[in-house]
Amino acid sequence: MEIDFAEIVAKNQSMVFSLALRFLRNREVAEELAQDVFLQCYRQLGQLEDAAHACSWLRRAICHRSIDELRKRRYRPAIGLDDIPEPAAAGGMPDLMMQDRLRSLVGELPEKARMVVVLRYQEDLLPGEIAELLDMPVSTVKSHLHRSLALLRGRLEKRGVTPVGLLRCEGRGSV
Amino acid sequence: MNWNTDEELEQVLRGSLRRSAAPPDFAPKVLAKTRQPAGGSRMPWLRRPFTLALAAALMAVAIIPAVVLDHQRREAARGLKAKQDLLTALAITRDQLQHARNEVRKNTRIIQ
Repeated sequence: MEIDFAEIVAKNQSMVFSLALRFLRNREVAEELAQDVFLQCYRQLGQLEDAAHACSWLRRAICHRSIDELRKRRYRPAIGLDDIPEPAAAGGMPDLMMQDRLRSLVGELPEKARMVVVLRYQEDLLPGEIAELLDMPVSTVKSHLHRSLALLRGRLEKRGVTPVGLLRCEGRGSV
Repeated sequence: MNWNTDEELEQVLRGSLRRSAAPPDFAPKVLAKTRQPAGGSRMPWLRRPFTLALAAALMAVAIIPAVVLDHQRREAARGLKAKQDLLTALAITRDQLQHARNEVRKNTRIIQ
């Protein structure tokens, strides 16, 4: 079956770019890495059966390349926890900045846990699918998810960020 | 108000982590790169691990003997200086002993 590479790029560019962006939190590096992965895909086009296979191949490739990139460059998040200003009031802040704060907090998670969280909530993958993608047991994926949620909740509460503020600004689009 | 359930947090995470659009020129850039001839990047062989390893080995071959020779030269110079210092010390000791012997002889004659 002939695979149209231009169509694969068009359909998957957002997924590949976003996974790298959410994981690395650096737009330029994410774009560069995503392009590299597509080029790698292009070279292996003959081994891919169909568009769905290409999609799963791309997802796996960008996950592993992002983790490698992080280890190689030893990235620190662009915005550290200490740089985040405290909220002005205990109540919610209906502000898109809040979503960025949450993304920053996700960016503070350890690499494996961060990738698990991004795959779960960006790609809506099930723990079993994430386990297969990252070559780890399902129990480990569930443990990463459970601990990450607890950690995120604790950090959000510590900073006075409440569900009201974040839920209110949902649906306004994201960067 | 606190985070009562994981569902609340999960809902917020889904909203915050939803996909971002790739840059507008992303796809054209990728497709343009696929049209470049294979190995079109500038001197890709320079980045190959074998080339890097060979360069490192050549540098090691050039640098290590120079370092070893310099170390040997310094050690030899130190040894020579130590030898000269020792000879000087022995000469001083010999002179002092000679002087002491002369004094002893002179005093012995006076007593006799």
